[in-house]
Amino acid sequence: MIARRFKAPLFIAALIASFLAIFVLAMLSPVLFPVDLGATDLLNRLIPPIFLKGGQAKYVLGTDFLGRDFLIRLFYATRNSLLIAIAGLLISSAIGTLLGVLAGLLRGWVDLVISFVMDVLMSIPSIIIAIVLASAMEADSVTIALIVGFTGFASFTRLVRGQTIQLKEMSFIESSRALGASTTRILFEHVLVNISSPLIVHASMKLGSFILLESSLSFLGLGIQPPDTSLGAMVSDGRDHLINNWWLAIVPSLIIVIIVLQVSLVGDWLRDRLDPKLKS
Amino acid sequence: MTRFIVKHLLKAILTIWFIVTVVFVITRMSGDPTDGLLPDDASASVRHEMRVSMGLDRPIHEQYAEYLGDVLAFDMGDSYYYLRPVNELFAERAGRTLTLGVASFVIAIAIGVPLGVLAAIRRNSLADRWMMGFSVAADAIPGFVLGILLIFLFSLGLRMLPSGGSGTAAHYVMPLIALTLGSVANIARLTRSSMLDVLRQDYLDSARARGVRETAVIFKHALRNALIPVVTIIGLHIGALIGGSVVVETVFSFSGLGSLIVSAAQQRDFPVIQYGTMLIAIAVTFTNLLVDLSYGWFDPRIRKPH
Repeated sequence: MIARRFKAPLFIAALIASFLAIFVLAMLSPVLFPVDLGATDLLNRLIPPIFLKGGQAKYVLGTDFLGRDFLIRLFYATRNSLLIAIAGLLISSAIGTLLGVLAGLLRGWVDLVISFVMDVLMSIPSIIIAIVLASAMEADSVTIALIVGFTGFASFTRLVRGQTIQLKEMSFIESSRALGASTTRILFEHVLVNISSPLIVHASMKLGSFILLESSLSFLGLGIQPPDTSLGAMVSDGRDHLINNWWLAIVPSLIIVIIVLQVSLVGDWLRDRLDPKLKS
Repeated sequence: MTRFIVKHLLKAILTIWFIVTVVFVITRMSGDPTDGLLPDDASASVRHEMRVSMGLDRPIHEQYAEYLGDVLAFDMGDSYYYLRPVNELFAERAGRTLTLGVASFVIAIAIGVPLGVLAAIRRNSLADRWMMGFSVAADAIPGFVLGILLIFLFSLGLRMLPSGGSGTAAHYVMPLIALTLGSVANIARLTRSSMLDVLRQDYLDSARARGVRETAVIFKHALRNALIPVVTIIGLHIGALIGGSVVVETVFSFSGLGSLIVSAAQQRDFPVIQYGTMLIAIAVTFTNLLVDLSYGWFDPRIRKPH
């Protein structure tokens, strides 16, 4: 659907490789740079990167407004943004699958209530839900991951519910029931196995939007709190220095866009591979 | 038709009740609001006095009943931070946000729908590929990043537009671009795929065989059917618009409802959050209601019971 060039195996391989490289490097930040993120150095604030006038070899990408190494902060920020988005993805797919299977298998009033709540959650913009939850909680990475996960599980529930209802009508499930298989056994051996590939596709499509949600929340000052940081928080910090130190806001902005592009192009490709039915 | 309307209306009311109730629970669960309003060393008697004046000493069901009454009266009391009635704060800013939102909505449809139709008619052409590439890129750029890039380009680079504020017409230009770009991409992409589905249908060939002009086939026969799913998404789009304006208004220090809600969340100004979410719930729910109803109007098949 997107230009064919973006589907070439080499291009996809390069995308996946570059994403994995970013991911691994970001996860290794505490090993690569064992520093105290809160340590400031006001005598060395706002030093430009080495390739600009006034740059110093000690700080490859310069320093921020509190004299902290900008490159190191970028590493930690990418790490936090990815970790929170991935944790949110696990939380929302777990809650979503559980509720979806419940609604699809039990039907009746359980289904009515779950479906109603899902409709409501999906009609409210996720950033608003996240803002309301963040205003009522102490922000640390765990709560932010929970908030992101809670905000996004409705679409998983809807997907799993639909798939479960379809599967229930299938003859192989009926025959297995006739042979005396328990509901739990049917659930684990047939339902979960068969919904796994649309679920993986959906999760890969959601990862990008979770990264965007976390970075927006942090940008608004409602996500990760200083001295810890995330990509959105770095854009917010750099915004006041746009006029003289533009890279402080622009570089983390570009990293967000690059990661989300990688993730969504790979997600598109995965969808075409695993779930040709969904191709639009 | 009456049953159709009544059923959807009841569901809309239930939805709004559900949302305001959840927000009540969340804000009550988050701890004692007086913690944030009084200095840390405030004495217990001062604290108690404040709790009494805010009605926090009464049983929770009484507080909830009063809250529901407030919701019905569109009156959430005073903001903790501004110490003024919340509905006044919202009334002052609503005009600016509505102007921004309505303009963005109209522009997104006016550009997005023709772009999608064009891409569908000229499928796989250079224009089509550029449009699809643009829409993938637009999805990957969050509103605040777009805002920062616009400020960098137009305010600092070209010195053409003010970087923040909401006083003059020039202050609306960049927020409008930041808010609308993603919508244009989404609406264009959706119109394209929906149009492609319809263009495959046999009835278009039969219209052509009857000698109907190609433009009439596209615009009268195909587009009207292609727009049915587009209407639904445009309805859901109100939500995206609200979410987008929250971020975009903050980037551009635009004094509207979105930035009010964000600062209220930062300051734990719960009456403002409650009022804001109530308005959002009403806006979103009633747009969905309108979409459901217009769906029936666009597509008579839905009105008939199965």
